[in-house]
Amino acid sequence: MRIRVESDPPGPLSLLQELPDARLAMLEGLNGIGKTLTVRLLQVCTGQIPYDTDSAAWRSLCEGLGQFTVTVSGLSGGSTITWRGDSTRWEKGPGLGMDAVSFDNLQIDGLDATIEEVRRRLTVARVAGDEGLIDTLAQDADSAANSIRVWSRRFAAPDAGPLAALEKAIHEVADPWQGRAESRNRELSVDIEEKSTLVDELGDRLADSSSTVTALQTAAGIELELSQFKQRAPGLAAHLSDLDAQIQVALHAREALDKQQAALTTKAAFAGPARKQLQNARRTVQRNRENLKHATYAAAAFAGSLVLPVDDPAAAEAAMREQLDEISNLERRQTEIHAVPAMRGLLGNLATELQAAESSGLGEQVAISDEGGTYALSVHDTRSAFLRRREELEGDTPPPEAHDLTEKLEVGRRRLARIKALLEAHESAARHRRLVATNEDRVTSALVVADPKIEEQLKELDSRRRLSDDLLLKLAAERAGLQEQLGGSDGSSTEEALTAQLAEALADADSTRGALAPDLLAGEAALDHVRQELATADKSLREARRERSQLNADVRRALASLENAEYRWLREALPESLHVVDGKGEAALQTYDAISETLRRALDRLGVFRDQAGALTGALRGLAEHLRGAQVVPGLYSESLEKWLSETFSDWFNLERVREQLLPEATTVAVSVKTREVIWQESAGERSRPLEAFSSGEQAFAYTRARIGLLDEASDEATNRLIVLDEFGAFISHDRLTQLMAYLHDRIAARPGDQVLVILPLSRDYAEMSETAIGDEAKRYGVLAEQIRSREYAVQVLT
Amino acid sequence: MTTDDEDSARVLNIMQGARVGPRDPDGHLAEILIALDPSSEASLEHALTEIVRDAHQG
Repeated sequence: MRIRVESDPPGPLSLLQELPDARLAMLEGLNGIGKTLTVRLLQVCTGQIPYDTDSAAWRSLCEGLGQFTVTVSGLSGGSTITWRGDSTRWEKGPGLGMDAVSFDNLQIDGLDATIEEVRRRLTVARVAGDEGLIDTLAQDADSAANSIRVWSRRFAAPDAGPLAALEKAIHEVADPWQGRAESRNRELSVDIEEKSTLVDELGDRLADSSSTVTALQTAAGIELELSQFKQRAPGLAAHLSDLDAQIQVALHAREALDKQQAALTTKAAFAGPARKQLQNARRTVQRNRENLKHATYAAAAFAGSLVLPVDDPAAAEAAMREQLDEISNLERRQTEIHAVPAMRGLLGNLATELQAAESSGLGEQVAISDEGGTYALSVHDTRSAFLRRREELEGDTPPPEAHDLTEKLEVGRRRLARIKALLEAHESAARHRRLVATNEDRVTSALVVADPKIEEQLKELDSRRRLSDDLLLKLAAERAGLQEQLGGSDGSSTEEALTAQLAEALADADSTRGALAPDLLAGEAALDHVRQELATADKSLREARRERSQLNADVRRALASLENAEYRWLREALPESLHVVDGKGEAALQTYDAISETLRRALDRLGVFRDQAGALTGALRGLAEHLRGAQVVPGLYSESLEKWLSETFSDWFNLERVREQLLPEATTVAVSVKTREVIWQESAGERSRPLEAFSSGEQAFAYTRARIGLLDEASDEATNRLIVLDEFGAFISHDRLTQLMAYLHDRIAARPGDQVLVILPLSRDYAEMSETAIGDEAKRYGVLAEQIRSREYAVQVLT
Repeated sequence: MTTDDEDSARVLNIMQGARVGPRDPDGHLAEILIALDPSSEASLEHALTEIVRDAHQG
């Protein structure tokens, strides 16, 4: 076969342009002309990586070779193979193997081809003459390490490939299986019990503290009321006295009018029915005035307690609007800081609606489901959940601010109720005022007598009586309002009454007037503290309950997911005893934990595998260095791999071909990687020799013959093979080389697909030899000298 | 036999050689990975079943 290489290296590297087309040839050349590099390139082209892809040698080849074209023609079977590529685009890095290499174009007989197809037609074997037995064994260990790295990169890469696909699949399914459900559930149950006890204790403390503060506040309120009363009482009392005097005057005037009216009525000659009609009208007026008085007194009392004008319905309406706004704002604020009451109301309303739906036969219909169909709640289940949640919220402790708001709301609502009562009293008074006016007109109409003069006098007296009644009512109403401010109509707010109430309240609060203010401050501070403690404990309790609910829901959901078709493989992998899907009770928690643990172990196993591959690589590299004589600290797998390598190398030594060449007297041979020696049995007994002893002289020659012999025995499906004996001459003397050539010549006939090239460094001056030689020999040396001069190497075809 | 097959066979051989105790390299997992075709759902499920079953059996 003819091998041609076209290249234009960008750096100092050189390549031979062709290799001799001869069954056996010897190539002698100057150093640095690219003899070995050309062979390395041919190894890459035929699917072998000659270096570690993370090594300096590989980087040098990638960066120094550049664009190239390799053509091998005249192969057995007539094929021609062509490679075109650019080595600067080849990848560099650990464990890449042939994945580092790409060709722009790879063709066999003009058709695109693969490396596998190339290897069926052509392989390249390089036997290095400068490598002794130790190098070969160490390289074998390195090569094994490299195989692990390359294989791991393909099968166990973290981001793609078979192992990553398995990890991804298990990670996807393992997400809901976090494990520790049973123990966590137990911890949470204990936690919830302890926190419930604490919340109950704090609730009792809060009630006690609240009761104390309420008593103190009551006492403080009475004290304030008493103090205000004392401030305003003198002015009010004077006004009341003045009003009483005015009322007395008005009453006297009224009595005088009554007498005059009675006397004149007696004098008047009323017809029988007319007198009767007048009496009826006057009784009705009197009754209506009585009702008007009660309504007016009530309005005055309410107005007095609300500190509003006595006879001003418009002011009462304005006060009601203001009070409604305040209550609305307080309710909104209360919902913002403590949504429980609003939520309980909402849940109660929803539950009522769902109850009605259940009564209509909709109980088993789906009311709520998620998008993926993971869960579905029936109307009945949803109602139960709402009621359960409503019950849960019952025990929720509101924050301290909510308590203040509740008190303000209660005060506001009470004031609103009094304003409404005031407005009703105003309305009642207005209605009775209209009735009084109507019936006064009836009295006026009934005052018809025979004597016009007397009739006129009667009407004039009646008009004055009306004015007097109006004045009396006005004064009485004003007095009622004033009386309310002074202590209430029931006398409960008099100074004496308030003083007595204060004494009682102080006794209830276990305080005194002097200590009331500091006691109240301390009590409120203690109450706030207990409230905050309770709020914190309650929040913690709710969180623990929520976590336990969430945990059990997660377990139910995870177990239910086993029914999904996409997780059929998981069900198949698990024993029947773990096919529990009802998701309740201890058994469900235990099943969940068992499945979680299984998935965790599966993931661990996958993850550990990469570490194992790394440890194998490291151990093999360490053993390679150990074989080369370096001190290496043993790692994981070093011991077992040392034995394995020893057995592998022993098997190689025990091959008949090798044993005949290296240890012809031996019956059995063993290699100890640990002691770096070869031990064998022969008739004289057991003998041993260090590995170094196989690296020079006759042993090196024998070793090389053994390696070539093994190549001949190797099963190689390729129809063509290039065997290159490179760097020969380093250990083998010239006379041994003649023997080697004879050996190679002898094997040609039996190996029709082989082409053997022996590469040697140029060690002879053929020009000088041609001058001293004679005849054909001088001519042959002259030709070789000319080759050296023109292309820096000479080729001798030996067949 | 392809070069990939050769590599795989060699790796299994090395793992076999390093097998001496409970911390052995996982040769069985290596076999599962070699047999796995990640583009095939059935192949993936088969591998997952085998791995999880092994994990459960400890």
